[in-house]
Amino acid sequence: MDERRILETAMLAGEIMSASGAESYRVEDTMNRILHTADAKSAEAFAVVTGVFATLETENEVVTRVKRIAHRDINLAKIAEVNEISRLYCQKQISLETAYDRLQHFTVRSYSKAIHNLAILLLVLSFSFLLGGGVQEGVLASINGVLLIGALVLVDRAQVTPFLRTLFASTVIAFGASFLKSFMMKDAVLDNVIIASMMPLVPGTAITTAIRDTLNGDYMSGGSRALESIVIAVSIALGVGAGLWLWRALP
Amino acid sequence: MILQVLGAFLVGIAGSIILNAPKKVLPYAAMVSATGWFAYLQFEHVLSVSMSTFYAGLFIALFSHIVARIVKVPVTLFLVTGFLPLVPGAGMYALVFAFIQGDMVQANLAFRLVLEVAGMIALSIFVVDSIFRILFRPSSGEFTKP
Repeated sequence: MDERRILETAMLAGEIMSASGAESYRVEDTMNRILHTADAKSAEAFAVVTGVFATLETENEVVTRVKRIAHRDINLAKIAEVNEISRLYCQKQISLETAYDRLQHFTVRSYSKAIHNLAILLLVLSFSFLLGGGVQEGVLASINGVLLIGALVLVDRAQVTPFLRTLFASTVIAFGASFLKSFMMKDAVLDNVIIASMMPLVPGTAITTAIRDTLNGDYMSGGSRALESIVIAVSIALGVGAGLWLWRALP
Repeated sequence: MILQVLGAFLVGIAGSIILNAPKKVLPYAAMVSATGWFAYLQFEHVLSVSMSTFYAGLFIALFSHIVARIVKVPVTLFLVTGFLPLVPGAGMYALVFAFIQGDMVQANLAFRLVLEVAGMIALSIFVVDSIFRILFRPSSGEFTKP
């Protein structure tokens, strides 16, 4: 009976980590560590981007669990929390029941929507400085950041695909930046404002995870994440292009 | 220059919040981003863009791995925000801009630069990851991987 509970704990840990955007090797590693605390003949965990699998063979039975992961988003706090729980459990600092319970019930204090949006604004502004912008670029980038947040709120309400979401948002920022420049500050550097405002759309986690998964030989996860980041990058480029073109096409 | 490094510092904080990183890592993530960007700016004086990216990337990845082991959180938290300033956003923009202008020569150059920089980012993460994997091969039953 205990073995089944261990399997469930491992599955739950794997599911949360996969759904929060962790690298596949990390998911498998965490699951395997939990599974190996069981008194079993063999234990194996397998994780890809879209699902986790685990099997545990004891003296008289073989138990296998499959969990499809339909919805994914990026939440590094959840990954860190699961990591912490499984580390404590594997070092025998907490019992299996406690670990299972904590996995089921932990709530990560995520940042509120307002803080999240403020962070997007801050990211745009700080990128403007990072890329060598001055006061004028900073002001324009901040206003453009507000436009970006507005665009993101709008598309998130419409629930479109990631490709369309990025395409729309980057069209808005490219058009908005050109508009703001010609009406407010004619001698601001347009490049700086546009590059700074497209930074929140860049798929940083997908890129990093793709690299690390590929290095580890998880070509399925690495490949799909690489494709994901390429698709997003292309949609940013297309959107910026469309925005600039629209601005020029205006009389 | 100070303003640029300060910008990178804030990028670390804002980036971590967007990715829902736990609060305790914010100062470390900011530190990794700021020092990484400072390193890049120094390399850029003497080296090409892609080589500076590679060396700065090595530095960021190394620093991230060390900090992740100290704070005991997954290293991804620091890698993502640390590498954010190095992402070839400017190159991508230059590519699109040249494309719209119909300047294929410039577009080709920009495209090559984007690929080079992206490749260098990947390579630097590869190198440092491999080093740490060899040095800190987890012994059985012990949870060492951050």
